[in-house]
Amino acid sequence: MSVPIVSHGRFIVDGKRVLWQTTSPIKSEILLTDTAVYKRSSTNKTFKLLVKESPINRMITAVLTGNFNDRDWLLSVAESADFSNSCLKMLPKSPQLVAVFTSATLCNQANNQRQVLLVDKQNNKTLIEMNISKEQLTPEDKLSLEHP
Amino acid sequence: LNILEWSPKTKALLWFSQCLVILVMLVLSYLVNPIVVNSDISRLFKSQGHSDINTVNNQIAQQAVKSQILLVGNTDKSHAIADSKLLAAQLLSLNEIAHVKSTYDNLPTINRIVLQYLPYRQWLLSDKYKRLLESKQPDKLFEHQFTLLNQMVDPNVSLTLEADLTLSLADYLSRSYLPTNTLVLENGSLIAQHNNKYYVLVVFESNASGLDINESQKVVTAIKQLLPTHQSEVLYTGSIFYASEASSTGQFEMSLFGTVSILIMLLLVWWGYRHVSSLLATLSIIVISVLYGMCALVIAFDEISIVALIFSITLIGISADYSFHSLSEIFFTRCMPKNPLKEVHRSLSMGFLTTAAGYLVLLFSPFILFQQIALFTIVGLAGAYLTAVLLFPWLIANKVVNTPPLPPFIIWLNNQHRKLTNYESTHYIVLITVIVVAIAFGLFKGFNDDVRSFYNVTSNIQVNERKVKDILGQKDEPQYILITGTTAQVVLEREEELTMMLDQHVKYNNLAHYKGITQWLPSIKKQKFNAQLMVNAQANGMFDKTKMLLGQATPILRPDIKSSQYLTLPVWLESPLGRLFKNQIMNVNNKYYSIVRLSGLNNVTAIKASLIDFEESYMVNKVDDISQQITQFRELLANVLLIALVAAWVVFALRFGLKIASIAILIPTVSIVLSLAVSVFIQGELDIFNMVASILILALGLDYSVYYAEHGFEKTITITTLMSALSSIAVFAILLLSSMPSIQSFGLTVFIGVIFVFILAPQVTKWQKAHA
Repeated sequence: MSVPIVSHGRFIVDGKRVLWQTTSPIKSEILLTDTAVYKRSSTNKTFKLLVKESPINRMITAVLTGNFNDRDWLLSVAESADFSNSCLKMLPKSPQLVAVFTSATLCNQANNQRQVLLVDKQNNKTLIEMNISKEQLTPEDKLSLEHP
Repeated sequence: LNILEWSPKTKALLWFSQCLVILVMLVLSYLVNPIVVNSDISRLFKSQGHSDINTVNNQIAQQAVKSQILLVGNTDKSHAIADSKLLAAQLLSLNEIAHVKSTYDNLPTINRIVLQYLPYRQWLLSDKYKRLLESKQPDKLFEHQFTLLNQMVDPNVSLTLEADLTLSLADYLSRSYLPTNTLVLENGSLIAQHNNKYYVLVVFESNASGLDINESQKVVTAIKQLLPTHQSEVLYTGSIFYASEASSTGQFEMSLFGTVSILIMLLLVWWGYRHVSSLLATLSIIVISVLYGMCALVIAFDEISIVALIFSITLIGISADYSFHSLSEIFFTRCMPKNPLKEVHRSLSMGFLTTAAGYLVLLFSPFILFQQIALFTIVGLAGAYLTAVLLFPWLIANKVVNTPPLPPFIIWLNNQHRKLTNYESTHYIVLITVIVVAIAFGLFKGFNDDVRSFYNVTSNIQVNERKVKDILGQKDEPQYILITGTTAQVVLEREEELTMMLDQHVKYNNLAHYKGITQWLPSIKKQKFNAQLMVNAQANGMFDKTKMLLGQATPILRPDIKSSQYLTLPVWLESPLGRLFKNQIMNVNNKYYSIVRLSGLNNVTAIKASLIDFEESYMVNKVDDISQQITQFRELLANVLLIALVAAWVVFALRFGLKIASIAILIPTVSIVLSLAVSVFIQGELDIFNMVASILILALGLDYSVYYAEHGFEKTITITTLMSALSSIAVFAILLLSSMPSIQSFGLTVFIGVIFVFILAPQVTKWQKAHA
């Protein structure tokens, strides 16, 4: 792609679930659980099932929630792109994932900054830059995370 | 030309000649078309028909019959894989197994599927995408596209985005329709995870198309011998396992019932006639009747059901009747040595005709099982009749020097029977019948025509099947929808219309899922329509936001969107995904048939009702269809019984007068009603086999009436009817031990019916006296 596709929003991580709320370019919510992915648009009140029992989404959820182990991943220490931080590089072991996915890199940066870089087989990169905040979950967030 | 007047020697010569012809025919037909005894219980009630639809349905059933599934399970994945490969190699070494598959290297991966569809991008739209285009609301379409982009590392998006900025193909491929999502491909093995165990799939196909009893047993025995050599748990399912069980049960029951029946028959004969020649005669009549029956089956059918053979054992009991009639006449009367059976010839003939007429009804039934039972019995009885009439005068008459006295028990029984008949027993009979029928009517739970209830399957096979289905997540129903058309495109267009209707049923929870070809291959008509929809959408600015997000200035649609290189059936069927669907479309006699498989059916009636509006589309449910045919046949059988009674009444009236004819008809009628009533007491509900049993009771009842009407209440007739009744009772009572409910039902009703027929039959003589 000549132009990166950029979206902004909040990642809410709770246990084994991730709620990805985008604010731009449009408002939407994606809920990742270890069994399924759900979607809710700004006009909808309820989540709709997008994908069920997908190994790729299970893998993304594991990366984003930190629920991974060396049985499924080849873990190694790497350096961040600007060599300022140590990162954890994860290579999938499952042949099914290897076919579509190359690596995930998790980096801890200063000032509560965190980076997740996902690279697929076509070398498309998904870079998630996060500012860690420790806000209390709102009742709406809690409700969303509890779906279905 | 009166054969009866011929000398015993000439008759015997005639008998030997015709017997030789039959034996030669049997050997020749066996050599030309070796007999295949089929133990596939799913085909017990296979209805015969030669329409294309029947051919297609049989082909579909055949595919299911050939394919067998094994799952090798272990908590250690590598052990499960190693064991599955070892098992596959062991299976392959068996001669009876044609194909074994434990590795699946050619299964379509997401990458291969995406590459296969890429040339056809923008002609394939999901229903949702189509609705969004038609809604003319660019924001909604953009939101959908953004959701796709927002799903990280989605290969459907990453592999298609460059070629298709509309994301329509990514969306089309993201629908969760891909089969076998519980099975994961790993190093070529398909593995399912269930309760902390890894199960590796092994599929094999048996060599022959049918399920021969020997073949299925050999295969299953060999497999079961292999299983303990593996540490892993091995689950199995498939028709061969059911067939093997049916064949071992069938063979056991057939040999047990056959042997016991013959032994009882010979004991009865020895007790009644006490002469070696009587044993020889009875044995010869049984052997000949079985040979004749087999000859007819081998000539008329390609394969014989083992259940039909178990039923056919009853022939032993019926054919022996001819021996008893002849023996009683020869042993206990002063018959002419030259023509010893002259006096009983008429009753023998009438007996044969009435029984044959009863079974003839079954011969015209729409079910192979009944056709085989009927043909075997009719031809077998013809053999028995010819043996009695032509062979016995030569075989026995000259060899009986001293007539043995009648056994004292027969004399006593005859006296008791006389007393029962002489009393004003008619009132009691009527009273008892009314009471029994009234109680039975109160207990009657209706008719059970469900074909699945006619045979028992051991819980082990069922547990295995349930577990395999659970692990593989299979919820497929036996029902499917068959769509026909003159060309592949016509069929696809019809299927598309039909699946729109099915979508509504899924929405209302009448159905969980369905699987059809058009979910992955739209008709060319639809592809053209989609292309036009995309062109219109671009003209209406539907893709503007997407273009902006992706920073594209160039047109978003492919330049050749209006070309004619659409995705066609032959091309698709050769693709990695299409190959998986090859069994879902067929071409039979230049007509195309596509199959829509259904799963999680909650409301069949609603779907059937909707189908009425669709051209050339049929709901196929073999089990329901057969059960429905059984209901129709059962109703027809009841009418035939009535007609047979009227016909017999007319024949009897012409020969014996109205009164005797009426009593002669009442005897089997009352016996049938009482035996059905007793069957209701025991079974609660009746089935087709109880009704079929009624035909036999009618035939036997008329037989006995003829003997009494012809000969009066003589001791010789008592011994004949007693022997006949005891032999029938024994043979049909043995059937109660069968593990198959169908055989039990039949045995029970005939067993009870014969008792009543025996008790009631002398009533004819009472009226005969009154008449005289």
